Amino acid sequence: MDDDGSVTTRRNFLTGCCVAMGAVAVGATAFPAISALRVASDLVFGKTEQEVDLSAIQPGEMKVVGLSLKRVTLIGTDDLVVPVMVLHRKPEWVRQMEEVKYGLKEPVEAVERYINPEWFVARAFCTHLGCTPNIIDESATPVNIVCPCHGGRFDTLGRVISGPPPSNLFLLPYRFVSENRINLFVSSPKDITATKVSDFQKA
Amino acid sequence: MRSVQEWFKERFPSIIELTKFHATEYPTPPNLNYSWAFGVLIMFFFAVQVITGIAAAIFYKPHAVVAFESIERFRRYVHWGWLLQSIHAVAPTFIFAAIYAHIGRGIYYGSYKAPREIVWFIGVFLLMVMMMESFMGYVLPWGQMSYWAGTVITGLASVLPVVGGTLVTWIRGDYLMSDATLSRFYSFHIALFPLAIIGGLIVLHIMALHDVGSNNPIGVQPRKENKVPFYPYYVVKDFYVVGLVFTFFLFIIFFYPNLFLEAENFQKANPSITPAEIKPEWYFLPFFAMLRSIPSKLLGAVVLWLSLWVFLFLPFIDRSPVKSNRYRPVKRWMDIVFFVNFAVLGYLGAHPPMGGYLPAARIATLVYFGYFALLFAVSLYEKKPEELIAYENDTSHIRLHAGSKNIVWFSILIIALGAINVRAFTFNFPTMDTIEKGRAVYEAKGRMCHDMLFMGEQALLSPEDRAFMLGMVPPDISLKAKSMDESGIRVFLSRFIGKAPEGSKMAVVFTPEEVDQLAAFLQYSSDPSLFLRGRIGPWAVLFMSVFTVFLYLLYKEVWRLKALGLYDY
Ligand code: HEM
Ligand code: FES
Repeated sequence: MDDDGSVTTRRNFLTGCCVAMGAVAVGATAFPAISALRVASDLVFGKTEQEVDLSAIQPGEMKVVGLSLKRVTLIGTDDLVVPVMVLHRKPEWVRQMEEVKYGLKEPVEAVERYINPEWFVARAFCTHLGCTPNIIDESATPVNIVCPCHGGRFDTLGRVISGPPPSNLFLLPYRFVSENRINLFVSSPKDITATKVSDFQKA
Repeated sequence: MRSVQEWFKERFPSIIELTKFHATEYPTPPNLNYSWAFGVLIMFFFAVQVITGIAAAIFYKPHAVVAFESIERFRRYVHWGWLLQSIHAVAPTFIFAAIYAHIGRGIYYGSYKAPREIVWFIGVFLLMVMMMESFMGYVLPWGQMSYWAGTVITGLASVLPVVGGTLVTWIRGDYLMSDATLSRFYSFHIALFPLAIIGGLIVLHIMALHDVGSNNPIGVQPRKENKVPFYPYYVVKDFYVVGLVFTFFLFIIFFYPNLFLEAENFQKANPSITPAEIKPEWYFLPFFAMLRSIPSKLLGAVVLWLSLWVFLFLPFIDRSPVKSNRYRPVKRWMDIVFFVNFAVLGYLGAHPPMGGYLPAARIATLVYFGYFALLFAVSLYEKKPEELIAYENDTSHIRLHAGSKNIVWFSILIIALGAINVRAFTFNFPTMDTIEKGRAVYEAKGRMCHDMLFMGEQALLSPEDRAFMLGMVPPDISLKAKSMDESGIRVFLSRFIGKAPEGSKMAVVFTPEEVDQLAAFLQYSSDPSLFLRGRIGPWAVLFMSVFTVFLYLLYKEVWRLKALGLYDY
């Protein structure tokens, strides 16, 4: 390869052009294929409301309900289920939490985490890797909600105390329609990553 | 670059050796013409099928109840689904065109002869498995043609004595074509065939070829020092051909995506109604014509099998010491007749076996097989001409095949690409305004009876009411513009201008404007990607055209320098 430069100028220029256009062509081929992996446009995150009856949940009990986002596509229904935890807090848990001092990874005022202190409603979705934290550890002080997957620990308002979860459990919009019934309501993906009740109470 | 190569060389030398042996340094005859680019072209299209197929497989549901709908959903609701789906459906047309050209090249230049018989055998098997692959893919949308082609083709196995019936149900996984058949075809189509069988055979095909070296238009093997390395000489040449064909491919994809598809297949499979005319994709038509021309079930199937298997015997049938038709005047004409006859068979396959078509198909079938018999006889008498012996004695006379008619080729290329682009930029899609008016006409005059479920519209009357009033449930018309073809829809609707035609259960009347508007709306509803296609299509085609011109210039420049001896690899 004895390139004296002058004879190959034209060839080198053409090579450069072709390589550049080839790169564009490869990109243009990859783009639709990669883009197709995005959420398909019929998988809407529509407005959904669902009532939950609280009367059967005894103090100290947690119930995990599935909030179903109804979706109809050309090939049938494809509902998205968002698990929601409803925890009936015992009066002594509430008292205990005010008395005992403990560290929080992501401090948020307690009043920002409930509408009625007797009820804690949040997404049953551990902020570590998404398991459902459904174990209540009454031997701990204050009482803990524990994630079965990697032992993440939260207080009874879903705030991280210890373990791998990086942040508090997400809340999601709800309101009391009567003393014993709440109404869950979501209308966009943003709604299910609320962190304080004020995030959805204003709206 | 150098150092990266060194780094690999110390750690994974075989990959470097493999690349050199099979790609960059593969010694190639200096005189190959464009027909030697088809192999690489097929591989490019195969890669395109793998990429778009992986995307399609994510959204496709192999279930008889929803398979048809799942493809419509892929086209309508998945980002770029319309494009990926179109490409996957249309590319087989280009693949088979390229395969037939590739085989034609092999026949014409005697590439099947020693020492390339194994390359040829693998090639013939590739043809057969590509046919099966394409057939199974065709069944997946579960349209009318999918279903009936599936029934007919799987039924072919029933001609076998004794085991035939068992074999058919074994292939189908059920007593008739059903969901069970669909599911297994899906598995074979996306995994077994493309990855294990076709992918594997392609690798073997190339390995076998590279052990003995490529044939060339003269048919004499040049000595190594008279060959040129694959890179850069044939890389640039093959890329140019790939660019050219892909320009045309994109043009079809964006502007005539249904041109090669069977309209009937845009209707969902219905096991109780056989379409008026069953016909396969165009690339099966020649074989289809032969099958139909034989009035016996067993014999028809045998002829069909023989028409493919006979190629395996070609290296033994042809006894001539000469390969290339350049030095075989008789075989050249025989080949031309054979190729034309193949096209004629294709034409006959597209027409019902009645009247003059049937005897014509029988004659063409005889010509097809007669070719091989005649070739055997003729080849016994062929001798090696002096000129070839001279080439064999000194292969340095085998010259580069490039450089001369630069300007002529360039002008032709520019004119052809220019024409494609002018067509692309002047292509007319209906306007949104006409479409909206058409929608209003549908709401007012059609929705009473017709569903358009893919547009989210249900008929106003219930199916029971419609059945009671009309004696039938009128069809869903979301895809009618595809299943009847746009012009067909126009012809149909025009019959209702002024007054409804005699005997029609469809009691409506349209004005000529309404026909236009409805046709536009139905075209849109059968393919809502219309506007996006129209917007990006011209630019995609233009880009590919410019790219192709540059690939052409690069190819010519690289070969010019080589021919002048100014620069050599
Ligand atoms: C999936 C299908 C196929 C692929 C990807 C493929 C690929 C290739 C490639 C890359 C080459 C070298 C470049 C060239 O000469 O064009 C080649 C050569 C060859 N192929 Fe194929 N091929 C396929 C099918 C076939 C079929 C169906 C046949 C014959 C029935 C065939 C027969 C040959 C022969 C004889 C050669 C050597 C040509 C020569 O050196 O003159 N191939 N193939
Ligand atoms: S998922 Fe809950 S701790 Fe890991």
